[in-house]
Amino acid sequence: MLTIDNLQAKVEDKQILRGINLQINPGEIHAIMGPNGSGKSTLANVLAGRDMYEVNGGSVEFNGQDLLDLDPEVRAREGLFLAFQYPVEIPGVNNTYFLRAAVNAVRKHHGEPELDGAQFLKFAREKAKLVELDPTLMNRSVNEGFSGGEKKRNEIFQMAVLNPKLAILDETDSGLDIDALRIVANGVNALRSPDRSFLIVTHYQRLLDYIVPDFVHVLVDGRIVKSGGKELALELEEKGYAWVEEELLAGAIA
Amino acid sequence: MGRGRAIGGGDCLKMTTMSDTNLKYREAALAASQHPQPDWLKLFRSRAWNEFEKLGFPTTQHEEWKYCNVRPISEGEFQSPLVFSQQTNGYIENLGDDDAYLLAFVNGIYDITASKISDAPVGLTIDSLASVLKNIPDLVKPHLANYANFEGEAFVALNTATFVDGAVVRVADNVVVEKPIFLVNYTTSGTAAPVRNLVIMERNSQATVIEIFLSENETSFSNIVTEIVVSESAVLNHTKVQLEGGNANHISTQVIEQSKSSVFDSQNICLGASLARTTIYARLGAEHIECTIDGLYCLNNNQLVDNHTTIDHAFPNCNSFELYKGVMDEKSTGVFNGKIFVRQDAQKTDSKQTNQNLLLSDDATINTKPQLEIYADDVRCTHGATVGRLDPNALFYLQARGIGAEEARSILVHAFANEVIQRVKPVGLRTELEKRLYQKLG
Ligand SMILES: Nc1ncnc2c1ncn2[C@@H]1O[C@H](COP(=O)(O)OP(=O)(O)OP(=O)(O)O)[C@@H](O)[C@H]1O
Ligand SMILES: [Mg+2]
Repeated sequence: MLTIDNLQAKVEDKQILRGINLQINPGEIHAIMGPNGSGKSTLANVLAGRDMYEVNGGSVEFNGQDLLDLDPEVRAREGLFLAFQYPVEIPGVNNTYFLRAAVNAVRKHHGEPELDGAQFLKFAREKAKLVELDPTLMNRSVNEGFSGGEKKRNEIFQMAVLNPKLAILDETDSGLDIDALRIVANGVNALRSPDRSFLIVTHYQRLLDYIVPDFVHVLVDGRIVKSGGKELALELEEKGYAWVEEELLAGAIA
Repeated sequence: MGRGRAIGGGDCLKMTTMSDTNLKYREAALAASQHPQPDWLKLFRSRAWNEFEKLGFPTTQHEEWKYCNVRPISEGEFQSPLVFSQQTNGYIENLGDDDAYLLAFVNGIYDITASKISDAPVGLTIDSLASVLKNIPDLVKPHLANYANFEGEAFVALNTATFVDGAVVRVADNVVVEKPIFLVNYTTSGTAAPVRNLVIMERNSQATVIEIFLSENETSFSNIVTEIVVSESAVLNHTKVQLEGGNANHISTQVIEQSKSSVFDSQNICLGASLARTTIYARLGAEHIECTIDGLYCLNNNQLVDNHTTIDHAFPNCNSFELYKGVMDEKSTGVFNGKIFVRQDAQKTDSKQTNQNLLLSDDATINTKPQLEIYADDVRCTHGATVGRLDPNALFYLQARGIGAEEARSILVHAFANEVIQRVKPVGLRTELEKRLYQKLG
């Protein structure tokens, strides 16, 4: 599904990703944890194609294609989805209108007929139920005036509608109350399938109680310094990142 | 003219041209004065001509025309619209609402065949100004040329001296006109067309009036003066839509006189022409008036669009709202100058003015100057202007959902502009404007 090889990226002359290696196979759920500022969102945004970041080394293969060579919209149409850490408010753009434009852009890309307003609405309403999204939010401007939790839920709603192959969730759990967390997790679990993969950025074990990952990676200072199974998240929660860093240091000295 | 020749050099040429131009307009003024009309109007016209001759066309030295160079007009070669051209039949494209009254004008002259006014109800007068001046001049006597002051205003003076025709809309006391009233003006290439419109809303009446301006593609010059009277407790929805061709010059002056408890709700939508200047002056001449003056200008190429608005609060307890939004692409230039006067007696005034601009290219320019002059102490007035670019975060958000860069840009620009379009009352026109906006901005 996704193969990241020695990926390096910088922003405004500041090197942030310093050689990321990661292999995600179809159906797998990977979690990425790491201290603030370690580069998790940078990785997510580079994968989604944000041009603010300059890739200055390495490669990324996505379903046999050179991902870095694709425009962000093409990445999305090919099945990559990023749930943003900070979803942007877009005044004046109706949520439903926007999402239909997105769905139809994806469908067109795959040679499928576009959905008309009524067809889309029916489809979108079902998905809204899945994430228990207040249907009135669909008629508002994209994220405008949404609460923090509503924004995150709207991201998961969009994911459910767009049906991606690889979904990257960047701290979708932060800002959610316990109920919302369960709903978002249920949304993700409902989409879990042998040919869909997830890359979940989080600071908290609690999300991983609901969405059980196959692998957990620790990102520190632009590198994945430790990988393991789901128990690694528990260990991190207990011992903190300092533990990983000490271990690293010990390893380097030894 | 003679003096100009005697001086010699480049200046001489310029002066000669200027005088030739004046000569042509003088002929137009003379011709206009020979149409059937009452003496009081003839008197106005000769005074207006003298004023125009005294002033000449404004230059950028003039404070109110600082960013609006009218040389394409002052040095342009235009014919007077003395001959009615039949070739323009079918010029009125379907601008939306079929179920409407329609007065059509070509080069400022009434086109009866294209008009639709036969089923006008009792209490609604929609007619050509030329015909009213000939048959029932007393109907317009209290109003015509009474609000649009030509002193110091070259284009108003020129219009007053040279207009031949235009629209008269009068809604009698207590009459509510359900269907919108469209005044469609079309200017042909090479023509200088004065247009004179008068809208009289009598007490407690209601109507929706739309002024649409179209032209051929080659250069032309339309010079419009619209006087609007909104009497006590009357409600007027007014939309001006300027869709002239890419080489057209469009100068328009709109003067609104409001009486007690009246409502004036307007949008000034400007998409066309090469040079377009709109001057709006609203006088709130009694208490409890509500005045909304909204506008949208979307420009590309080398377009220059200048909107000057004045809202004059002279009495207490009135509200005014103004939202002007601009989108400037390529090498276009936008100008917004909005004055709000709150005179000493105008206590409890509530006034809000906003000008928001979106620059889509590095070569586009906006000059914005919101001005608030307050002489009363118990008022609530806010004003502000913003100039910005498309939000890159929003653009990326749309792209990250699969929407192409061009479409994403277009969605955001339309979201910005749509706020004003949505305030246009007739549904068909609103839809048409959304379409035009897409055509223009991609
Ligand atoms: N546009 C930018 N300009 C300058 N610095 C940036 C920019 N984007 C990210 N950075 C810097 O890059 C580093 C990594 O940021 P990133 O957002 O990837 O961290 P993160 O791991 O997601 O942190 P958090 O857990 O707080 O979300 C930080 O030091 C951040 O300040
Ligand atoms: Mg982050």
